[in-house]
Amino acid sequence: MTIEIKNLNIYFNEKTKLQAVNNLSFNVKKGEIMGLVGESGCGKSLTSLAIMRLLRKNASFSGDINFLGENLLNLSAKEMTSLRGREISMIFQEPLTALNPLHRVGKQIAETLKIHTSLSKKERKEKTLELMNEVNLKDLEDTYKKFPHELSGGQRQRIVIAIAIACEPQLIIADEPTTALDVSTQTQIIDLLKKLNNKKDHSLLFISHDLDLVGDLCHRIAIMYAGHIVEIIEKLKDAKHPYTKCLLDAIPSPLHKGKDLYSIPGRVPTLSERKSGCPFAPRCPMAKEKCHEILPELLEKKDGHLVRCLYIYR
Amino acid sequence: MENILEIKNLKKSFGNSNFFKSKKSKIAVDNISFEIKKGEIFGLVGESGCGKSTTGNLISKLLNIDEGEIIYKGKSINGLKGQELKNMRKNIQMIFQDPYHSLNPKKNIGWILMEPLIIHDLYSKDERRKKILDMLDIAGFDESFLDKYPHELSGGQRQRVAILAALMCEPDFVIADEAVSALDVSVQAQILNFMKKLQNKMGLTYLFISHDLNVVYYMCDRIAVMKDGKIIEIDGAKNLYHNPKHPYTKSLLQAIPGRSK
Repeated sequence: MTIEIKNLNIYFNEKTKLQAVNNLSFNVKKGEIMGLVGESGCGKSLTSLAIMRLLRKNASFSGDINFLGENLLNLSAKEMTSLRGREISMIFQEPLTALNPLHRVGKQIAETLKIHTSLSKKERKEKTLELMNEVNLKDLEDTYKKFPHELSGGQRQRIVIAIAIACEPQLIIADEPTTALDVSTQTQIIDLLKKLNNKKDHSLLFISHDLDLVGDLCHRIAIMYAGHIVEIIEKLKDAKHPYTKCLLDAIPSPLHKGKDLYSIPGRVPTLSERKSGCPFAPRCPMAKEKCHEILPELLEKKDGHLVRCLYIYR
Repeated sequence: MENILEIKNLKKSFGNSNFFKSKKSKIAVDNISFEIKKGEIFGLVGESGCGKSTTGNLISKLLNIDEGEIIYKGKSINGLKGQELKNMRKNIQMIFQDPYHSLNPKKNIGWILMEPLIIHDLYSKDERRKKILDMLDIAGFDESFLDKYPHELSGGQRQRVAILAALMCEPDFVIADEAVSALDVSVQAQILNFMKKLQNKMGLTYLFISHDLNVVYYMCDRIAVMKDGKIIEIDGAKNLYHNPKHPYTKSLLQAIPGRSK
Protein backbone atom coordinates (compact mmCIF):
# COMPACT_ATOMS: atom_id res chain seq x y z
CA MET A 1 0.00 0.00 0.00
CA THR A 2 1.61 3.26 -1.10
CA ILE A 3 -0.94 5.68 0.22
CA GLU A 4 -4.05 5.27 2.29
CA ILE A 5 -6.50 8.09 2.83
CA LYS A 6 -8.90 7.70 5.73
CA ASN A 7 -11.89 9.94 6.50
CA LEU A 8 -10.45 13.02 4.88
CA ASN A 9 -12.60 16.12 5.38
CA ILE A 10 -11.85 19.50 3.87
CA TYR A 11 -13.66 22.65 5.00
CA PHE A 12 -13.61 26.23 3.86
CA ASN A 13 -14.47 29.36 5.80
CA GLU A 14 -13.81 29.34 9.56
CA LYS A 15 -17.34 30.38 10.58
CA THR A 16 -19.69 28.45 8.33
CA LYS A 17 -17.45 25.41 7.82
CA LEU A 18 -18.52 24.75 4.26
CA GLN A 19 -17.55 21.18 3.60
CA ALA A 20 -15.97 20.51 0.19
CA VAL A 21 -14.78 16.94 0.76
CA ASN A 22 -16.65 14.53 3.03
CA ASN A 23 -15.17 11.49 4.74
CA LEU A 24 -13.08 10.49 1.80
CA SER A 25 -11.37 7.10 2.08
CA PHE A 26 -9.45 5.22 -0.54
CA ASN A 27 -6.02 3.78 -1.12
CA VAL A 28 -3.53 3.37 -3.93
CA LYS A 29 -1.52 0.15 -4.00
CA LYS A 30 2.09 -0.11 -5.08
CA GLY A 31 2.44 0.06 -8.85
CA GLU A 32 -1.24 0.73 -9.31
CA ILE A 33 -2.85 3.37 -11.53
CA MET A 34 -5.82 4.73 -9.62
CA GLY A 35 -8.30 7.00 -11.36
CA LEU A 36 -10.25 9.75 -9.62
CA VAL A 37 -13.09 11.10 -11.77
CA GLY A 38 -15.93 13.53 -11.32
CA GLU A 39 -17.37 16.76 -12.67
CA SER A 40 -15.88 20.14 -11.87
CA GLY A 41 -16.37 21.14 -8.25
CA CYS A 42 -16.65 17.60 -6.91
CA GLY A 43 -13.45 17.90 -4.87
CA LYS A 44 -11.07 15.76 -6.86
CA SER A 45 -8.37 18.38 -7.24
CA LEU A 46 -8.76 19.44 -3.59
CA THR A 47 -8.01 15.86 -2.60
CA SER A 48 -4.78 15.89 -4.59
CA LEU A 49 -3.80 19.24 -3.10
CA ALA A 50 -4.51 17.88 0.39
CA ILE A 51 -2.15 14.95 -0.25
CA MET A 52 0.55 17.39 -1.35
CA ARG A 53 -0.36 19.71 1.56
CA LEU A 54 -0.78 22.54 -0.91
CA LEU A 55 -4.24 23.63 0.24
CA ARG A 56 -4.73 27.34 0.73
CA LYS A 57 -4.67 28.83 4.20
CA ASN A 58 -8.43 29.32 4.36
CA ALA A 59 -8.99 25.58 4.09
CA SER A 60 -8.99 23.37 7.16
CA PHE A 61 -8.88 19.59 7.13
CA SER A 62 -9.14 16.52 9.31
CA GLY A 63 -8.49 12.81 8.82
CA ASP A 64 -5.47 10.66 7.99
CA ILE A 65 -3.31 10.43 4.91
CA ASN A 66 -0.92 7.54 5.52
CA PHE A 67 1.99 7.55 3.14
CA LEU A 68 4.65 4.88 3.73
CA GLY A 69 3.76 4.69 7.42
CA GLU A 70 3.63 8.41 8.09
CA ASN A 71 0.60 10.64 8.44
CA LEU A 72 1.19 13.46 5.96
CA LEU A 73 -1.24 15.75 7.74
CA ASN A 74 0.99 15.74 10.86
CA LEU A 75 4.27 16.58 9.12
CA SER A 76 5.88 19.97 9.56
CA ALA A 77 6.23 22.28 6.57
CA LYS A 78 9.95 21.52 6.36
CA GLU A 79 9.48 17.75 6.38
CA MET A 80 6.79 18.10 3.75
CA THR A 81 9.05 20.17 1.48
CA SER A 82 11.67 17.45 1.48
CA LEU A 83 9.00 14.89 0.61
CA ARG A 84 7.53 16.83 -2.30
CA GLY A 85 9.29 16.01 -5.54
CA ARG A 86 11.29 13.23 -3.88
CA GLU A 87 8.63 10.77 -2.70
CA ILE A 88 5.46 12.35 -4.09
CA SER A 89 5.42 14.45 -7.22
CA MET A 90 2.76 16.07 -9.26
CA ILE A 91 1.92 16.63 -12.92
CA PHE A 92 -0.41 19.56 -13.55
CA GLN A 93 -2.88 20.30 -16.29
CA GLU A 94 -1.26 23.27 -17.95
CA PRO A 95 2.48 22.71 -18.54
CA LEU A 96 2.98 26.32 -19.59
CA THR A 97 2.06 27.55 -16.12
CA ALA A 98 3.78 24.67 -14.34
CA LEU A 99 7.13 25.55 -15.93
CA ASN A 100 9.08 28.70 -15.22
CA PRO A 101 9.12 30.76 -18.43
CA LEU A 102 12.47 32.38 -17.60
CA HIS A 103 14.56 29.25 -17.18
CA ARG A 104 15.74 26.73 -19.74
CA VAL A 105 13.79 23.49 -19.46
CA GLY A 106 16.86 21.33 -18.92
CA LYS A 107 17.83 23.42 -15.95
CA GLN A 108 14.36 23.04 -14.48
CA ILE A 109 14.68 19.25 -14.55
CA ALA A 110 18.15 19.47 -13.04
CA GLU A 111 16.85 21.75 -10.30
CA THR A 112 14.79 18.94 -8.78
CA LEU A 113 17.90 16.74 -8.74
CA LYS A 114 19.93 19.54 -7.16
CA ILE A 115 17.48 19.90 -4.30
CA HIS A 116 16.92 16.24 -3.53
CA THR A 117 20.14 14.43 -4.47
CA SER A 118 23.86 14.87 -3.89
CA LEU A 119 24.86 14.53 -7.53
CA SER A 120 27.55 16.83 -8.94
CA LYS A 121 26.73 19.37 -11.63
CA LYS A 122 28.04 17.14 -14.40
CA GLU A 123 26.19 14.07 -13.13
CA ARG A 124 23.00 16.12 -12.90
CA LYS A 125 23.24 17.08 -16.54
CA GLU A 126 23.85 13.47 -17.56
CA LYS A 127 20.91 12.32 -15.49
CA THR A 128 18.72 15.07 -16.97
CA LEU A 129 19.52 14.01 -20.51
CA GLU A 130 18.78 10.43 -19.52
CA LEU A 131 15.40 11.49 -18.11
CA MET A 132 14.60 13.47 -21.24
CA ASN A 133 15.37 10.41 -23.30
CA GLU A 134 13.11 8.37 -21.06
CA VAL A 135 10.12 10.63 -21.79
CA ASN A 136 10.78 10.27 -25.53
CA LEU A 137 12.11 13.75 -26.25
CA LYS A 138 14.32 14.12 -29.31
CA ASP A 139 17.46 16.25 -29.96
CA LEU A 140 18.33 16.09 -26.28
CA GLU A 141 21.22 18.60 -26.15
CA ASP A 142 19.20 21.06 -28.20
CA THR A 143 15.99 20.72 -26.21
CA TYR A 144 17.94 20.99 -22.94
CA LYS A 145 18.76 24.60 -23.81
CA LYS A 146 15.26 25.63 -24.92
CA PHE A 147 12.76 27.78 -23.06
CA PRO A 148 9.23 26.49 -22.40
CA HIS A 149 7.64 28.76 -25.01
CA GLU A 150 9.82 27.24 -27.71
CA LEU A 151 8.33 23.79 -27.19
CA SER A 152 4.98 22.35 -28.26
CA GLY A 153 2.29 21.47 -25.70
CA GLY A 154 3.14 17.78 -25.82
CA GLN A 155 6.88 18.41 -25.42
CA ARG A 156 6.24 20.71 -22.48
CA GLN A 157 4.12 18.09 -20.76
CA ARG A 158 6.97 15.59 -21.32
CA ILE A 159 9.33 17.99 -19.55
CA VAL A 160 6.89 18.21 -16.63
CA ILE A 161 6.72 14.42 -16.51
CA ALA A 162 10.53 14.22 -16.57
CA ILE A 163 10.62 16.55 -13.55
CA ALA A 164 8.02 14.39 -11.81
CA ILE A 165 9.95 11.13 -12.27
CA ALA A 166 13.41 12.66 -11.68
CA CYS A 167 13.80 11.41 -8.11
CA GLU A 168 11.96 8.14 -8.67
CA PRO A 169 9.05 8.96 -6.36
CA GLN A 170 6.74 6.35 -4.87
CA LEU A 171 3.62 8.23 -5.87
CA ILE A 172 2.87 10.51 -8.81
CA ILE A 173 -0.30 12.58 -8.83
CA ALA A 174 -1.43 13.62 -12.30
CA ASP A 175 -4.15 16.27 -12.21
CA GLU A 176 -5.85 16.42 -15.64
CA PRO A 177 -2.47 16.07 -17.39
CA THR A 178 -3.93 15.80 -20.89
CA THR A 179 -6.93 18.12 -20.76
CA ALA A 180 -5.07 20.97 -22.45
CA LEU A 181 -3.72 18.72 -25.21
CA ASP A 182 -5.03 17.51 -28.58
CA VAL A 183 -6.34 13.96 -28.90
CA SER A 184 -3.34 12.51 -30.69
CA THR A 185 -0.89 14.17 -28.29
CA GLN A 186 -3.09 12.93 -25.45
CA THR A 187 -2.66 9.35 -26.65
CA GLN A 188 1.12 9.75 -26.71
CA ILE A 189 1.22 11.16 -23.18
CA ILE A 190 -1.09 8.42 -21.87
CA ASP A 191 1.09 5.75 -23.51
CA LEU A 192 4.14 7.35 -21.92
CA LEU A 193 2.53 7.37 -18.45
CA LYS A 194 1.60 3.70 -18.89
CA LYS A 195 5.11 2.78 -20.00
CA LEU A 196 6.77 4.64 -17.13
CA ASN A 197 4.37 3.06 -14.64
CA ASN A 198 5.29 -0.41 -15.91
CA LYS A 199 9.00 0.27 -15.84
CA LYS A 200 9.38 2.14 -12.57
CA ASP A 201 6.61 0.52 -10.56
CA HIS A 202 5.50 3.77 -8.92
CA SER A 203 1.86 4.36 -8.05
CA LEU A 204 -0.09 6.85 -10.11
CA LEU A 205 -3.13 8.79 -8.96
CA PHE A 206 -4.75 9.98 -12.16
CA ILE A 207 -7.33 12.74 -11.82
CA SER A 208 -9.60 13.51 -14.74
CA HIS A 209 -13.13 14.40 -15.80
CA ASP A 210 -12.91 12.13 -18.85
CA LEU A 211 -14.51 8.76 -18.05
CA ASP A 212 -13.44 7.10 -21.29
CA LEU A 213 -9.82 8.09 -20.79
CA VAL A 214 -9.75 6.90 -17.19
CA GLY A 215 -11.46 3.66 -18.22
CA ASP A 216 -8.66 2.99 -20.71
CA LEU A 217 -5.76 3.81 -18.42
CA CYS A 218 -6.56 2.96 -14.82
CA HIS A 219 -6.58 -0.28 -12.86
CA ARG A 220 -9.17 1.02 -10.43
CA ILE A 221 -11.46 4.05 -10.62
CA ALA A 222 -13.03 6.12 -7.86
CA ILE A 223 -16.00 8.24 -8.93
CA MET A 224 -16.69 11.38 -6.92
CA TYR A 225 -19.82 13.49 -6.65
CA ALA A 226 -20.23 16.59 -4.49
CA GLY A 227 -17.36 15.74 -2.15
CA HIS A 228 -18.22 12.06 -1.69
CA ILE A 229 -16.79 8.98 -3.33
CA VAL A 230 -19.89 7.27 -4.72
CA GLU A 231 -18.27 4.23 -6.29
CA ILE A 232 -14.93 2.46 -6.65
CA ILE A 233 -14.71 -0.03 -9.51
CA GLU A 234 -12.26 -1.79 -11.77
CA LYS A 235 -14.22 -1.77 -15.03
CA LEU A 236 -16.62 1.04 -15.91
CA LYS A 237 -19.02 -1.37 -17.57
CA ASP A 238 -19.72 -2.95 -14.17
CA ALA A 239 -20.89 0.42 -12.81
CA LYS A 240 -23.82 0.13 -10.43
CA HIS A 241 -24.23 3.58 -8.89
CA PRO A 242 -26.93 5.67 -10.62
CA TYR A 243 -24.58 8.66 -10.95
CA THR A 244 -21.89 6.65 -12.74
CA LYS A 245 -24.51 5.16 -15.02
CA CYS A 246 -26.01 8.57 -15.79
CA LEU A 247 -22.58 9.97 -16.59
CA LEU A 248 -21.80 7.09 -18.93
CA ASP A 249 -25.14 7.62 -20.67
CA ALA A 250 -24.45 11.32 -21.13
CA ILE A 251 -21.24 10.81 -23.13
CA PRO A 252 -21.95 10.93 -26.86
CA SER A 253 -20.90 7.64 -28.40
CA PRO A 254 -21.57 6.02 -31.79
CA LEU A 255 -24.54 4.21 -30.24
CA HIS A 256 -26.31 7.50 -29.47
CA LYS A 257 -26.30 8.80 -33.05
CA GLY A 258 -29.79 10.01 -33.98
CA LYS A 259 -31.16 9.71 -30.44
CA ASP A 260 -31.42 12.26 -27.67
CA LEU A 261 -28.59 12.10 -25.16
CA TYR A 262 -29.49 11.33 -21.59
CA SER A 263 -29.03 14.47 -19.55
CA ILE A 264 -29.02 14.46 -15.78
CA PRO A 265 -31.71 16.88 -14.57
CA GLY A 266 -30.68 19.77 -12.31
CA ARG A 267 -27.11 20.71 -11.58
CA VAL A 268 -24.26 19.99 -9.19
CA PRO A 269 -25.11 21.65 -5.85
CA THR A 270 -22.80 24.41 -4.70
CA LEU A 271 -21.05 24.03 -1.33
CA SER A 272 -23.74 25.94 0.58
CA GLU A 273 -26.57 24.00 -1.10
CA ARG A 274 -25.42 20.58 0.03
CA LYS A 275 -27.86 18.82 2.32
CA SER A 276 -27.84 15.69 4.41
CA GLY A 277 -28.83 12.43 2.78
CA CYS A 278 -27.40 10.96 -0.40
CA PRO A 279 -25.64 13.77 -2.30
CA PHE A 280 -27.03 12.60 -5.62
CA ALA A 281 -30.61 12.08 -4.42
CA PRO A 282 -32.06 15.37 -5.77
CA ARG A 283 -31.01 14.46 -9.32
CA CYS A 284 -31.24 10.69 -9.15
CA PRO A 285 -33.82 8.96 -11.36
CA MET A 286 -34.14 6.11 -8.84
CA ALA A 287 -34.28 8.18 -5.64
CA LYS A 288 -36.84 7.19 -2.99
CA GLU A 289 -37.90 9.21 0.02
CA LYS A 290 -35.34 7.50 2.22
CA CYS A 291 -32.48 8.64 -0.05
CA HIS A 292 -33.06 12.27 0.93
CA GLU A 293 -32.69 11.45 4.62
CA ILE A 294 -29.93 8.88 4.98
CA LEU A 295 -26.39 9.15 3.65
CA PRO A 296 -25.58 5.61 2.53
CA GLU A 297 -22.24 4.04 3.50
CA LEU A 298 -19.63 3.18 0.91
CA LEU A 299 -20.05 -0.59 1.11
CA GLU A 300 -18.35 -3.45 -0.66
CA LYS A 301 -20.61 -5.14 -3.14
CA LYS A 302 -18.27 -7.72 -4.54
CA ASP A 303 -14.46 -8.10 -4.41
CA GLY A 304 -13.22 -4.53 -4.35
CA HIS A 305 -16.31 -3.00 -5.95
CA LEU A 306 -17.60 -0.37 -3.52
CA VAL A 307 -20.90 1.46 -3.97
CA ARG A 308 -22.58 4.22 -1.96
CA CYS A 309 -26.28 3.73 -2.67
CA LEU A 310 -29.26 2.50 -0.66
CA TYR A 311 -31.00 1.25 -3.75
CA ILE A 312 -28.26 -1.19 -4.73
CA TYR A 313 -28.40 -3.22 -1.50
CA ARG A 314 -32.03 -4.10 -1.84
CA MET B 1 -31.46 20.49 -50.94
CA GLU B 2 -30.21 23.97 -51.77
CA ASN B 3 -26.93 25.27 -50.45
CA ILE B 4 -27.15 27.93 -47.78
CA LEU B 5 -23.43 28.58 -47.82
CA GLU B 6 -20.75 27.96 -50.40
CA ILE B 7 -17.09 28.48 -49.78
CA LYS B 8 -14.73 28.65 -52.71
CA ASN B 9 -10.93 28.57 -52.53
CA LEU B 10 -10.79 30.42 -49.24
CA LYS B 11 -7.34 31.60 -48.12
CA LYS B 12 -6.14 33.42 -45.03
CA SER B 13 -2.66 33.97 -43.70
CA PHE B 14 -1.31 35.82 -40.70
CA GLY B 15 2.08 37.35 -40.18
CA ASN B 16 3.89 40.31 -38.84
CA SER B 17 4.33 43.27 -41.09
CA ASN B 18 6.21 46.40 -40.14
CA PHE B 19 7.24 49.63 -41.80
CA PHE B 20 10.07 48.12 -43.81
CA LYS B 21 8.67 44.83 -44.86
CA SER B 22 5.35 43.14 -44.97
CA LYS B 23 5.38 39.40 -44.76
CA LYS B 24 2.56 36.99 -44.48
CA SER B 25 4.18 33.94 -43.00
CA LYS B 26 1.66 31.61 -41.32
CA ILE B 27 -0.99 30.25 -43.65
CA ALA B 28 -4.00 29.55 -41.44
CA VAL B 29 -6.54 28.58 -44.07
CA ASP B 30 -5.17 27.23 -47.31
CA ASN B 31 -7.47 27.09 -50.28
CA ILE B 32 -10.48 25.35 -48.81
CA SER B 33 -13.83 24.82 -50.50
CA PHE B 34 -17.02 23.26 -49.22
CA GLU B 35 -20.72 23.90 -49.19
CA ILE B 36 -23.31 23.58 -46.45
CA LYS B 37 -26.88 22.60 -47.26
CA LYS B 38 -29.90 24.23 -45.71
CA GLY B 39 -31.00 22.55 -42.49
CA GLU B 40 -27.98 20.37 -41.96
CA ILE B 41 -25.38 20.26 -39.20
CA PHE B 42 -21.96 20.49 -40.76
CA GLY B 43 -19.03 19.50 -38.57
CA LEU B 44 -15.51 20.88 -38.80
CA VAL B 45 -12.91 18.93 -36.80
CA GLY B 46 -9.18 19.12 -36.38
CA GLU B 47 -6.49 19.66 -33.79
CA SER B 48 -5.62 23.05 -32.33
CA GLY B 49 -4.03 25.35 -34.85
CA CYS B 50 -5.49 23.63 -37.90
CA GLY B 51 -7.50 26.68 -38.92
CA LYS B 52 -11.01 25.57 -37.99
CA SER B 53 -11.79 28.59 -35.83
CA THR B 54 -10.27 30.92 -38.43
CA THR B 55 -12.66 29.45 -40.98
CA GLY B 56 -15.59 30.17 -38.65
CA ASN B 57 -14.40 33.73 -38.09
CA LEU B 58 -13.98 34.29 -41.83
CA ILE B 59 -17.54 33.17 -42.53
CA SER B 60 -18.96 35.52 -39.90
CA LYS B 61 -16.68 38.26 -41.24
CA LEU B 62 -14.91 38.74 -37.94
CA LEU B 63 -11.78 38.40 -40.08
CA ASN B 64 -11.18 39.64 -43.60
CA ILE B 65 -10.62 37.20 -46.41
CA ASP B 66 -7.29 37.20 -48.28
CA GLU B 67 -8.51 35.29 -51.30
CA GLY B 68 -11.54 33.28 -52.32
CA GLU B 69 -15.24 33.75 -51.98
CA ILE B 70 -17.99 33.06 -49.47
CA ILE B 71 -21.46 32.81 -50.97
CA TYR B 72 -24.38 32.99 -48.57
CA LYS B 73 -27.81 32.23 -50.07
CA GLY B 74 -26.52 32.80 -53.60
CA LYS B 75 -24.89 36.16 -52.85
CA SER B 76 -21.22 36.82 -52.23
CA ILE B 77 -20.58 38.34 -48.82
CA ASN B 78 -17.00 39.37 -49.60
CA GLY B 79 -17.54 43.07 -50.18
CA LEU B 80 -20.47 43.70 -47.85
CA LYS B 81 -20.44 47.01 -46.01
CA GLY B 82 -22.66 49.10 -43.76
CA GLN B 83 -26.33 48.13 -43.62
CA GLU B 84 -25.86 45.07 -45.82
CA LEU B 85 -23.17 43.72 -43.53
CA LYS B 86 -25.38 44.34 -40.52
CA ASN B 87 -28.23 42.41 -42.13
CA MET B 88 -25.91 39.54 -42.94
CA ARG B 89 -24.68 39.44 -39.33
CA LYS B 90 -28.28 39.21 -38.19
CA ASN B 91 -28.64 36.01 -40.18
CA ILE B 92 -25.27 34.48 -39.39
CA GLN B 93 -24.69 34.21 -35.63
CA MET B 94 -21.93 32.73 -33.51
CA ILE B 95 -21.80 30.76 -30.27
CA PHE B 96 -18.43 30.78 -28.53
CA GLN B 97 -16.62 28.32 -26.33
CA ASP B 98 -16.56 30.00 -22.99
CA PRO B 99 -19.83 31.38 -21.63
CA TYR B 100 -17.81 32.99 -18.81
CA HIS B 101 -16.30 35.40 -21.31
CA SER B 102 -19.01 35.79 -23.93
CA LEU B 103 -21.62 37.33 -21.58
CA ASN B 104 -21.26 40.86 -20.25
CA PRO B 105 -20.78 40.46 -16.47
CA LYS B 106 -22.29 43.87 -15.69
CA LYS B 107 -25.60 43.37 -17.48
CA ASN B 108 -28.52 41.20 -16.46
CA ILE B 109 -29.93 38.42 -18.61
CA GLY B 110 -32.89 40.55 -19.73
CA TRP B 111 -30.50 43.16 -21.12
CA ILE B 112 -28.25 40.55 -22.74
CA LEU B 113 -31.22 39.08 -24.58
CA MET B 114 -32.69 42.49 -25.44
CA GLU B 115 -29.49 43.94 -26.94
CA PRO B 116 -29.57 42.06 -30.27
CA LEU B 117 -33.19 43.18 -30.81
CA ILE B 118 -32.28 46.81 -30.16
CA ILE B 119 -29.24 46.69 -32.45
CA HIS B 120 -31.25 45.30 -35.32
CA ASP B 121 -34.30 47.40 -34.42
CA LEU B 122 -36.75 44.52 -34.39
CA TYR B 123 -40.25 44.53 -32.87
CA SER B 124 -41.94 47.11 -30.68
CA LYS B 125 -41.21 47.35 -26.97
CA ASP B 126 -44.02 45.02 -25.86
CA GLU B 127 -43.32 42.52 -28.57
CA ARG B 128 -39.66 42.42 -27.54
CA ARG B 129 -40.56 41.43 -24.01
CA LYS B 130 -42.91 38.74 -25.28
CA LYS B 131 -40.24 37.44 -27.68
CA ILE B 132 -37.70 37.23 -24.84
CA LEU B 133 -40.14 35.37 -22.61
CA ASP B 134 -40.91 32.94 -25.45
CA MET B 135 -37.21 32.23 -25.90
CA LEU B 136 -36.67 31.79 -22.15
CA ASP B 137 -39.51 29.30 -22.18
CA ILE B 138 -37.77 27.17 -24.82
CA ALA B 139 -34.69 27.02 -22.60
CA GLY B 140 -36.80 26.09 -19.59
CA PHE B 141 -36.13 29.33 -17.69
CA ASP B 142 -38.84 31.38 -16.00
CA GLU B 143 -39.35 35.13 -15.88
CA SER B 144 -37.25 35.61 -12.73
CA PHE B 145 -34.18 34.91 -14.86
CA LEU B 146 -34.44 38.30 -16.53
CA ASP B 147 -33.08 40.05 -13.45
CA LYS B 148 -30.21 37.67 -12.81
CA TYR B 149 -26.59 38.36 -13.67
CA PRO B 150 -24.23 35.93 -15.41
CA HIS B 151 -22.27 35.17 -12.22
CA GLU B 152 -25.44 33.85 -10.58
CA LEU B 153 -25.83 31.13 -13.20
CA SER B 154 -24.10 27.79 -13.59
CA GLY B 155 -21.91 27.06 -16.62
CA GLY B 156 -24.67 25.21 -18.43
CA GLN B 157 -27.25 27.94 -17.82
CA ARG B 158 -24.78 30.55 -19.01
CA GLN B 159 -24.14 28.68 -22.23
CA ARG B 160 -27.90 28.39 -22.79
CA VAL B 161 -28.23 32.16 -22.35
CA ALA B 162 -25.36 32.69 -24.83
CA ILE B 163 -27.17 30.44 -27.32
CA LEU B 164 -30.48 32.26 -26.78
CA ALA B 165 -28.78 35.62 -27.31
CA ALA B 166 -27.36 34.34 -30.59
CA LEU B 167 -30.81 33.18 -31.68
CA MET B 168 -32.84 36.26 -30.67
CA CYS B 169 -32.96 37.71 -34.19
CA GLU B 170 -33.93 34.36 -35.66
CA PRO B 171 -30.82 33.74 -37.75
CA ASP B 172 -30.82 30.86 -40.18
CA PHE B 173 -27.14 30.01 -39.92
CA VAL B 174 -25.31 29.49 -36.63
CA ILE B 175 -21.58 28.93 -36.18
CA ALA B 176 -20.89 27.05 -32.95
CA ASP B 177 -17.18 27.31 -32.20
CA GLU B 178 -16.31 24.68 -29.57
CA ALA B 179 -19.66 25.45 -27.95
CA VAL B 180 -19.53 22.54 -25.50
CA SER B 181 -15.78 22.11 -24.94
CA ALA B 182 -15.67 24.02 -21.65
CA LEU B 183 -18.58 22.11 -20.11
CA ASP B 184 -18.84 19.02 -17.94
CA VAL B 185 -20.19 15.80 -19.42
CA SER B 186 -23.67 16.03 -17.93
CA VAL B 187 -24.00 19.71 -18.88
CA GLN B 188 -22.61 18.99 -22.33
CA ALA B 189 -25.44 16.53 -22.90
CA GLN B 190 -28.00 19.17 -21.88
CA ILE B 191 -26.56 21.73 -24.30
CA LEU B 192 -26.29 19.29 -27.21
CA ASN B 193 -29.92 18.25 -26.73
CA PHE B 194 -30.91 21.91 -26.47
CA MET B 195 -29.12 22.78 -29.71
CA LYS B 196 -30.84 19.91 -31.53
CA LYS B 197 -34.22 20.97 -30.17
CA LEU B 198 -33.68 24.54 -31.38
CA GLN B 199 -32.62 23.28 -34.77
CA ASN B 200 -35.89 21.38 -35.19
CA LYS B 201 -37.93 24.28 -33.89
CA MET B 202 -36.37 27.10 -35.85
CA GLY B 203 -35.03 25.31 -38.91
CA LEU B 204 -31.42 26.27 -38.23
CA THR B 205 -28.31 25.30 -40.09
CA TYR B 206 -25.24 24.78 -37.91
CA LEU B 207 -21.55 24.90 -38.61
CA PHE B 208 -20.33 22.88 -35.65
CA ILE B 209 -16.64 23.41 -34.95
CA SER B 210 -15.04 21.07 -32.42
CA HIS B 211 -11.99 18.98 -31.66
CA ASP B 212 -14.05 16.20 -30.11
CA LEU B 213 -14.83 13.59 -32.75
CA ASN B 214 -17.38 11.78 -30.61
CA VAL B 215 -19.43 14.95 -30.14
CA VAL B 216 -19.12 15.90 -33.82
CA TYR B 217 -20.16 12.44 -34.93
CA TYR B 218 -23.16 12.55 -32.61
CA MET B 219 -24.31 15.99 -33.78
CA CYS B 220 -23.45 16.25 -37.46
CA ASP B 221 -24.82 15.08 -40.78
CA ARG B 222 -21.59 15.72 -42.67
CA ILE B 223 -18.06 16.21 -41.35
CA ALA B 224 -14.97 17.90 -42.76
CA VAL B 225 -11.55 17.13 -41.28
CA MET B 226 -8.95 19.90 -41.33
CA LYS B 227 -5.20 19.65 -40.98
CA ASP B 228 -2.66 22.47 -41.40
CA GLY B 229 -5.22 24.78 -43.00
CA LYS B 230 -6.40 22.27 -45.58
CA ILE B 231 -9.52 20.15 -45.66
CA ILE B 232 -8.32 16.60 -46.12
CA GLU B 233 -11.59 14.71 -46.05
CA ILE B 234 -15.31 15.53 -46.30
CA ASP B 235 -17.88 12.79 -45.97
CA GLY B 236 -21.20 11.86 -44.42
CA ALA B 237 -20.81 11.42 -40.67
CA LYS B 238 -21.43 7.65 -40.63
CA ASN B 239 -19.07 7.00 -43.52
CA LEU B 240 -16.32 9.12 -42.09
CA TYR B 241 -16.56 7.63 -38.62
CA HIS B 242 -16.76 3.98 -39.61
CA ASN B 243 -14.89 4.03 -42.86
CA PRO B 244 -12.31 6.84 -42.96
CA LYS B 245 -10.20 7.15 -46.11
CA HIS B 246 -7.42 9.54 -45.16
CA PRO B 247 -4.67 8.21 -42.86
CA TYR B 248 -4.88 11.34 -40.69
CA THR B 249 -8.61 10.83 -40.10
CA LYS B 250 -7.84 7.23 -39.19
CA SER B 251 -5.21 8.26 -36.67
CA LEU B 252 -7.56 10.86 -35.16
CA LEU B 253 -10.28 8.25 -34.75
CA GLN B 254 -7.86 5.79 -33.20
CA ALA B 255 -6.81 8.38 -30.65
CA ILE B 256 -10.32 8.63 -29.17
CA PRO B 257 -10.19 7.12 -25.69
CA GLY B 258 -12.56 4.25 -25.09
CA ARG B 259 -12.95 3.45 -28.78
CA SER B 260 -11.12 0.15 -28.53
CA LYS B 261 -13.80 -1.25 -26.23
